[in-house]
Order: sequence, then C-alpha cells, then structure tokens
Amino acid sequence: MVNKKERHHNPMDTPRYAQVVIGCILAAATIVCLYPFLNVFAKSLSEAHAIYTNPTMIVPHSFTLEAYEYIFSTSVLLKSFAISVFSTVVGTILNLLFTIPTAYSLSRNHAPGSKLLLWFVVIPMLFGAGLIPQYILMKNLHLLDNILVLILPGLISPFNAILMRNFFWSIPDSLTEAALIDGASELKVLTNILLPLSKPIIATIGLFYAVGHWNDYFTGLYYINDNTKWPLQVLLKSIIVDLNAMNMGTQNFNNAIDIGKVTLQPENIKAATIIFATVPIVLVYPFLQKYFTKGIILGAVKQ
Amino acid sequence: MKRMHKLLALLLSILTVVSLLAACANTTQPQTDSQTQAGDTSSTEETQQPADNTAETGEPTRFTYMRGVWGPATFTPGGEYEQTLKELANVEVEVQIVPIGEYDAKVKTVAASGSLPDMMMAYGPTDAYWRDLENQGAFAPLDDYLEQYPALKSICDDSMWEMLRNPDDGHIYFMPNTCVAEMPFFIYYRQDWFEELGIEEPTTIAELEAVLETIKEKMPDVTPMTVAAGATAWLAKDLGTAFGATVSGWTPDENGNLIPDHMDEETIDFAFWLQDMKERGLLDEEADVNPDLTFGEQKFKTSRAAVICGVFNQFTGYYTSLMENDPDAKIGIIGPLTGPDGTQGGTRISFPMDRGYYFSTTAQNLDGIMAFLNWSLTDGNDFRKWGVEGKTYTVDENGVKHSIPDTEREADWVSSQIEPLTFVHVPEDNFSWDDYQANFDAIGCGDYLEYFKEKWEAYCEVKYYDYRNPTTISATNNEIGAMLTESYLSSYWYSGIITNPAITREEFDGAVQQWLDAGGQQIIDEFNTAQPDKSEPTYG
Repeated sequence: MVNKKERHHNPMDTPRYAQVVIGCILAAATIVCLYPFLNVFAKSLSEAHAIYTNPTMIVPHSFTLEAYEYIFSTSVLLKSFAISVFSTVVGTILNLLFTIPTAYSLSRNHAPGSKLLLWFVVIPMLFGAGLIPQYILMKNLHLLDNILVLILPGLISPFNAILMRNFFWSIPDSLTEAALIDGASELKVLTNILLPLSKPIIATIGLFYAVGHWNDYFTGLYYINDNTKWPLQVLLKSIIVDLNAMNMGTQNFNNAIDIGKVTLQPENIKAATIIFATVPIVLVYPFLQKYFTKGIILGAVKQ
Repeated sequence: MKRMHKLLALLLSILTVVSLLAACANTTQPQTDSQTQAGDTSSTEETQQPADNTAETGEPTRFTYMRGVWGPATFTPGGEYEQTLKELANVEVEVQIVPIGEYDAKVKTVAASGSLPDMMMAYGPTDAYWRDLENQGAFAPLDDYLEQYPALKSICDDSMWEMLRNPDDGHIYFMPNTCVAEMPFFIYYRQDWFEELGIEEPTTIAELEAVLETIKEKMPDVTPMTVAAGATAWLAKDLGTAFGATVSGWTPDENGNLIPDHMDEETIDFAFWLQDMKERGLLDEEADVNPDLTFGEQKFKTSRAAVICGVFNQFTGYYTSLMENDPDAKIGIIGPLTGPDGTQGGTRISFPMDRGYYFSTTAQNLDGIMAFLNWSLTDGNDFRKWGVEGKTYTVDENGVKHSIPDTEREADWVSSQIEPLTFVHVPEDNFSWDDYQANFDAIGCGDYLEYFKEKWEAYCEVKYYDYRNPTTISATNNEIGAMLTESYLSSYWYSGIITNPAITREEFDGAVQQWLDAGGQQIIDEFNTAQPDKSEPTYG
C-alpha cells in the first residue's frame, strides 16, 4: 500500500546528479525522436542535389518547394487525400457505433449464448480465409471499386471489441444493476451509464481505428481497381517507391514516355510525401494522448 | 413491455440465424458479365452479342485493360493523350493500373476470382500459374490473329512464338512484351579521379582489385565500388562473366545436363569473390543491405563512389546528375574484364521478354482489340512511339525528333499519363542508336556516344546465356520449389554469402546438398527431361 510520504514525493528531493543524468537521458531520447522528423522535413524543402550532399540535414539546403509542387500537381493526390479523410472520419465513427454495442453485449455474461457468441468473435480474429476468398466476397457484395470497401468489411474489429468488453467489465456491476432495477433498458444503461464512464477506452479504440484507416494500404490496392479512388497510402507508396522502380522498368518505355528525362529525384519527393501523409495524424494525436496512455492499460483491468 | 423486448430479441436472433444460413448456402459462382468490366459482377443471362463492327457503325472499340506501371500511379482518366488516342484509333480503353511491385499478386487475385479484364499484362507461360489458366480455357487463342495481322506477328521472331505455344493444345495464347536481350551492365567509373591518382583503366579482375585498393587508401571518404538499384549479384552480372558465371541462369554441366546457378562452380566462385570484396571494404557496405535501392546511384551521382555496376541505359541519368553536383566529373566505362583463370568477360544475355499480354475468352470485341493493336504498330506507329509533336516531342532543323523532358510537358502529357496506355511494341523500339544519339545530344554529351557504343559492342562480343527455356515446367518445382529455396538456400544465395563473411564454401555446399536431397535433384531432372534441346539459345 502506498503511504502518504511516497504518494507526495517531491521531485526536488531527487539528488542533483540523478536529475542531471535523467535530464541527459531525456534530452538524448528527445533528439533521437525529433531528429528523423526534422531531417525528413528539411529534405522535403530542399533541392534533390543538396540532399545527396547533405543527407543528415536538419535545416533545408537550397530551399525549394518543387517537391510539394510535384505532389500537388496532380489532382489524383488531392482526391486520394479526401478519400482517406472520408474513410478515416466516417469509418471511425461507424467503427465505434458498431463496436460499442458489440462489446457491451459480450460483456453481459448473464445473457444466454454469450460464451458461444464470444467464440464467433474470437475465431475470425485468429483465422482468415485468405486473400482470394475475401476478394470474391467483396466482388459478390458489389464492393469492388467502391470506396465503402475501405469501411464496411472492417466495421468491427474483434480485438478492439474484446478490449472494450474488458473495460466494461471493470465498471462496477452495482451501477448497471441499480439502473436496471430502476427500470432502465439495456440501451439506456449503455448510453447513460457506461458510455460517459468509457471516454478513455472510446478515445483509445477510436485512435486505433483512425490510424488503421489512415494507414490502410492493401484494402485500397486489392479491392479498388480505379486508381482515382485509391486512398492516400496506395498513391503515396506509388510515388515514393515506384519512382525508384522507374529506373528498373526503362526497357518498357518508348520515346513518348521519355523516362530518362524525368529529372526529379525521389529523395525530396519521398520526404514531402511522408510529411503530407503523417501531418494529420501528428496534429490529432496530442489531443488524444492522455486517453491513449490511460486506455491502453484499462482494457487489461479485470474485476 | 418486457415481453415485447423478449419478442423483439427473439425475432432479431431468428433473423440473424436465417441471414447466416442464407449467406452460407449461396454457392453461385461469379459470372463474368458481357460488359467485361473487371470487378463488375453484374451477371447477365443474355447470350453475348457479337461485337459492333466499327467499320460499319463507327462505334469505338471498347475494352478493359489491366497493366502494371513502373512510374507513379497518378494516371487520371480522360486526359488529352487518352482523348487523342480515342480520336485517332476509335478506341475507348478502360485501364486499370497497379504499381508494378504489387502487380503480380493483384492480377493473380483478380484472375482467381474469375473476373478477367479483356486484356491483361501477365508473366505468361514462363509462370506455371498462367500456363494452368491457359489449360483451363481462360484465354483466347491468338493463332488466327497472328496470321491475319503480320505486324502483330512481327513483335517477336518465330522461335519465341514456338516457345510460347501451349504444348497441350498447340495454341498460342500469349503476346510477349519483348525487350532487349543484350543489356550490358556497365562498370562506370570516375575517370577524372583515376587520372588524378594516376590509375589505369583495369582490364582484369586482379587489376580491378588493385584499383579499388588504391581508391580505398587514397580516398577514404569514397566508396570504392557500389551497385545501382537492385540485387548486387544481378547488377554485377557482367562483372561475373569474367569468372565464367551466369548469374540467375542455368548452364550445362560436364555431362551436358542443365544445372542451376547455385550449383555452378564458376558462379559460386563469383559469389564468394563478392563476399571477399565486401569484407575487404572494396564493395559498398550497403550492398544487399540497404532496402532503399537508390543508395548506390546516389553515392555515384554525388561523388561518394568511384565505381558503380549499373545498367547501360542509365548513363544519361548519371551524367545529368553528376554534372549538377560536380561539373568537372568525367565518366568512364570499364570494359569487359578477364578473370583470374583467363576467362574473357562479356555480357549475361537476358531472355528478351518482360511479361506480355493475355486476352480473356470473355472479351466482347477481340476482333476490335486486335485491329487496334495492329493499328498501333502500323498507321498509328508514330503516335504510339512518339506521341504528339509539341506535346511530347519536338523536331529540330534536321528533322530529328527529340523527346520533351517530363518536367517541361503539360500535365496531360507527362509520362504517368501515357504509360498506362501503352500496349505492344516491336523489337526495333527496344533499342536504337539514333535515339541514343538524340538523348546524348540533348544533355550535351553527343560526342560521348562513339565511346559508349564501343564499350557496348565489346561487352556484347562474348555472350553468356541462361540455357533453360523459361517456358519449361517442372511439377515438383511448382509444388515445392519455392519452399525448398526458402528452407535451404534463401539465407545463402546470393545475399547471404555476400553480406555474411562467416559463411564458408563448405557450409554453402552442405546447404545445396540438403536442397538436392529434399527435392532439388528431382527438379533438375524434370527440367532436363522437359527440355531435350539443351543447345545454346539463339536470341540476342
């Protein structure tokens, strides 16, 4: 049991040398974490030849916006950005809308068939049918070439549902029983009692879903044939990695393509596309961080 | 009220169970529809109507086309190039592009689902998967069209058509995408540094090692030798010919049987030589380590590497970038080297095909597609090859065409807008010294071409072939070949040996023996049985 003295430990009581050591370690960790980001940002604003001669830069050399101009020169990229935003926002909302009732129903142990239902949730989490059956399923559901394929198939993540279920278990039964005795329905218990207490886990699961949607690559690649409907990650990968592949495919090109004269090197474009893809998540995360760190362990708490 | 809730819950449960049973009971096979829209599952019970005769009705030929792209997949449908193609050829192409790195997995998934586009890029019968689909009747035979359209038949020679013929039913289903067989991978070097250090251009492997040692000693900040984008052994394939090595190829043993490269003594010697070079610090430490394949080219272009094993057609890229970073730089090309035992190096010849095209049996207007492809090689050849004057090329006062750099083109005419709408081509397109002259002139080193050509011819004087016909099939290889390679060889060949100095020859020989015992010998026997003619190939 934590005593009063330990609970109210004053950091100023820490020996000075220890504070210096801790400060140095934290400073080093900060540099290690910040440096790659600064490096990539600086590269995104530098000319290609300057990058090759100063690969470790943290301030731009030969400042230029050509990489960002290249990225924004095609409408396809902006459209794919919009598609990613759509699938992330709408997808996350729908994910939570369906995951919360699922987790609630799994958490009600007294419901008949609850254990069997749990198996129906766990088994698909462990075993998948594979890519081809999934592709056929999407085709039969008319989801191919449809941006809803980015949202509907993954509407409920079994892992997240179980995580949320565990959190619901940590809420005292007495609260829900009292509400039920007073005549509240299960839906009212969920919305009026449990959800207000579940902000950490909702934020955590929401962040999981949002990051998953934002970083989704294979769904767009395999189930969407029209490249104008691709989410951002598919297109960015094409720009970042496949600019390198162009060199390998030169034997397939004719003069009309003139690949030898695409002089823009991939390095600054790579950097610019990385910045473009990560900025939204970087902007959102600080607002959800306090819930994230709390929520990550809350799902493990059992009664 | 409670009873109502219970009733509702019961109804919901029944509905769930019924839906589950209904979904599980649905065994209807997906049908490819008459619209031949890949991914479109609208089935129709109408019999397919004959294709519109475009000559009579003027209706454009419409078809779906799936292909990989090497460049950025930023294609926007409806652009000016596409509109021009439509006006000139009376064709509407619904193109689906996939980045080339993921193309094979994606196209096999699409094919397995039963939704084949009308025309699709594929590896062809060199891959057992596609051969199997041929046997299942997924593709339309091309024999009659090849007779009807000589231009289409001219995209490769008769010997290649015969290689592609299905041995079971005798039909040709696959239209190859030909490429240059002779593709020397030059050993470029910084000629200005060599002159500065008083180094002569090496002519033997031993001289090359000495040169690299000198560079390592005199220029410690410079990587002595690096490789361009790709696997080290493949990029150094022509350097390897000095050892008699045929990288990634099959060659005859002393009994005349074809054996894979990992059993060929000369090729193994070459792999361990690369290991030694890396251990001595003469080969880039990032070789076969850095997942960013541009590391070597970046070093060479920014004067941080002295020698690079690169593809011959990358010279203009190296020259342009090097001039930006170091205007006093001079690029030389080390000629084919003589090996430690006197073997004369040359070039490892590639099979002159890089994927190709299949045509679905469900394609509604195959006649129109073939007519269009024929047009692209005849009346439309100039448009196919060069594009539109002023948009993709200019013509100088001598009447010579010059491509406009991508960065100077309008958005609708950049490479990423054109590549998805390229189809078949003739072998002459693969290589033209006139084109090279124009490219060299455009970047200001037109005088260099004679020297470049001289080196190219020197490399091509001695040819090293892959003796195995890539269309031969081994059932055991199809079944367990990948698993055997993964289990016994992948940690050694080639990257493992090159990057890990602890791997010895004995250890590798042991791994090869295990591979043989586990099924590798059977694979070798099956390939040899399937290919009675083991003579040197004639392409290239």
